[in-house]
Amino acid sequence: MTTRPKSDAPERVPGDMALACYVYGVVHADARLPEDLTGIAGGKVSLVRHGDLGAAVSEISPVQALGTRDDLLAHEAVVEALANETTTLPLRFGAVVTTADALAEEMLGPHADWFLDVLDDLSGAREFAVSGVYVEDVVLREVLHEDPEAARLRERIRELPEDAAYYDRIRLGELIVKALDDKRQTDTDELITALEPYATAVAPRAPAGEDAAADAAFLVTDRKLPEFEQAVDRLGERWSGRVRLRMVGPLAPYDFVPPPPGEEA
Amino acid sequence: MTVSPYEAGSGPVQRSSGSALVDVIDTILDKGLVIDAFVRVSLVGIELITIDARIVVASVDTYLRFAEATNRLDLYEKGGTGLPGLVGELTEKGTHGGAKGKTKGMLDAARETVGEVLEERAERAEERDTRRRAPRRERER
Repeated sequence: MTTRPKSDAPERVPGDMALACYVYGVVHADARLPEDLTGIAGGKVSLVRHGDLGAAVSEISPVQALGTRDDLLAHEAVVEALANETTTLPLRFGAVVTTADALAEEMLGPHADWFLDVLDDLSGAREFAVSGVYVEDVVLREVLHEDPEAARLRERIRELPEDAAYYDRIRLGELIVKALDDKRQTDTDELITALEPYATAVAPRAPAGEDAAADAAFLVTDRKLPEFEQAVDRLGERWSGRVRLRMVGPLAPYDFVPPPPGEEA
Repeated sequence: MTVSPYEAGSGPVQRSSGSALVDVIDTILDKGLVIDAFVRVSLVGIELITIDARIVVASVDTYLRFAEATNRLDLYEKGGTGLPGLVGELTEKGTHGGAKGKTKGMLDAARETVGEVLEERAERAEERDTRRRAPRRERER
């Protein structure tokens, strides 16, 4: 079996390779794209339509790896521009198909009802991500105040040379991590309770990092937005000095895209 | 475009429109519709280098934060004072100078942190000295 199968030989990458199609998001067919919107690698963004649906796409090279800072920024800029114009179902970064026509045939056509239902559900609402980060000194003092064992360990460690207190330091750190986990749970509940009344839907997010206090995404209609923002401010004031609150948005409803058809829980 | 009427950092809540990559990178990489669930035949498998992207974005964010922090220091630094002198000066400016309440809070926090670190270092150095000089004596209290 030393002879190479003939069929493999001519399969070379042609010099002038066909471009592929990057997909940003799904919208209603009557959506209007902002003028001169450019996407990844400077490709012009256009809308491919099928029935009542449209998808924002641009041409890219199929051999170039994706994921540079510019790529990510371009993806986010296009999705943000779309979401500012119309209800947008964002795609996760890195969605590439052969051609726009193939996308219409294989994605928009067969799943039209599903897409239209989801767009209807999300209509008039955008996502806001609200997250809090602990002010370390303050929250550590809180833990020492609330946990006598932690306070005792800290006193002991301060009196001992660094190497003699090794296990005490491990134990103290363990107590603090546990205490922070509990606080995070309480504070996430508080965040959701405070903002839920002004949101259509809530999606808790996994806390990013050890100093994370709370993190959740909220789907907010334009009508409710002023009240929502006031509630965020009130919470920010209540937590001031202990938790730094941050609000990112408006975003496309990334956290509120339902599971694809056939995979519903 | 930002809906918020507030400038970032003016209120109790920091706001971002989402154009800062560090705020949205995990969202655009982990959330949203997955194309594979809808398209199989026409799918183009393209190499994603997003693990690198996460690291790069995280480091750029860190670099910027340090650059900003250093910048703030430069504003107050006069003549080559040592770190303790600088800390003292920061405190003074924060309390009596024209700085706003917010700045004062930040500087106080910075003074406390730096102060504590210096104190701890001094303590540790003292401890080492004690141990060197009297290695057999048990330290009590």
